[in-house]
Amino acid sequence: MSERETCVIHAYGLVDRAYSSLSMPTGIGGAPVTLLPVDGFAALVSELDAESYGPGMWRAHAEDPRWLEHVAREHHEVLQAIVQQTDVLPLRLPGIHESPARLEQVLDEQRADLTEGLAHVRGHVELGGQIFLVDRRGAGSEAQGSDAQQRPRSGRDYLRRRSAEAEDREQARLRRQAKVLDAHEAMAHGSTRAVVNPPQDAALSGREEPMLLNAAYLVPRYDLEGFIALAEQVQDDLAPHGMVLEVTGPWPPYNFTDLPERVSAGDTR
Amino acid sequence: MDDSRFSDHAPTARPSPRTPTFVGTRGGQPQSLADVLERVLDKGVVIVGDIQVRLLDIELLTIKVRLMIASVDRAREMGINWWEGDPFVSSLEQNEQNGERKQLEERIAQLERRLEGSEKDERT
Repeated sequence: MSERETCVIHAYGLVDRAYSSLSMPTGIGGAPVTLLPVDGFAALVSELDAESYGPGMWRAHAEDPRWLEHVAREHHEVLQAIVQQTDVLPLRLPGIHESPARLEQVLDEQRADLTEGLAHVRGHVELGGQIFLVDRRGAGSEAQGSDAQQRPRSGRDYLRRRSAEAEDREQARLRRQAKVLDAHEAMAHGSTRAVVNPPQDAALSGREEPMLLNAAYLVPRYDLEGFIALAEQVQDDLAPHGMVLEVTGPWPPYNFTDLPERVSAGDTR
Repeated sequence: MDDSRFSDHAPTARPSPRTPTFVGTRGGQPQSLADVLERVLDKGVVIVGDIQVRLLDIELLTIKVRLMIASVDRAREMGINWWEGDPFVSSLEQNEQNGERKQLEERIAQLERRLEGSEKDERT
């Protein structure tokens, strides 16, 4: 593993070919982004200073959120600017390579999979769908009104009341769960593919509302308005239960770079 | 970030809107750091064969990053600390993460043992 090189090649993602019309954003650390054409597609790359972005820095900063945030955001900004112009297959960080020739070689070795990967996202973008619980007293759990304000008359009364409250909470939770599943099913059906991720930790999302669904949907570019209309219907269904849907994006299709192994629910429509 | 949220810690009284919130799609709020990190560091195509030739290295880094993303301590370092004194948020309706965390930590230990092993092999 050599760390003597003064430059490394950072690869952001792949596009169909070396379009001359692409407007190139600024890359990591202000470096220019260029297209490296290879057989079958082209890679978006920047030449970066090895002292700042080489393997040694990656190893040193693997658990340093500030450094990672900086690199991740700038990597993402490039892909975000590109996905607004054409289809792109995002590459995962750390995406550093010794030289353009070396990158070309590894891309060539994985050409069949990468070409297929690009084909699967062609004409598509990713939309995020997250459901948050904003009001725990949603439908059916209004029972904790004036009665709950009064002091319990006895220990037994107190325990009875606590157990009834716990039962109400559990029922409300089950109703919400069913609604979240319905919502996801509707959006999965209205998209080409769907992926469900674990809910984000509240500490990172900075949200006090619990996240009940953290999903991503691969949506045809021509059907974005249709998906948004569907999201509006889904929200109508969630609102009475104290939940809110947030739709994020359009993103580069980060969540859809695995080759689909089986037909997803959305493909059946 | 919406400061009005912080003054009202009780899980009540925010009416559910009739329309979804659009982030990015309609020029509204910017994409959140959590959403960006989750995608950029944990998704996307892995191209093997770069400077870090060893797959072990890459997997180890990826897992550490994933743990970092989910770590409260790290979030605190990033200056996200609103949750302190608000215990209900971390406990409710989020029970899968502890199991996943344990699995990932076991995988890290396993990879580190294998890395140590392969480094010894290189020396001999």
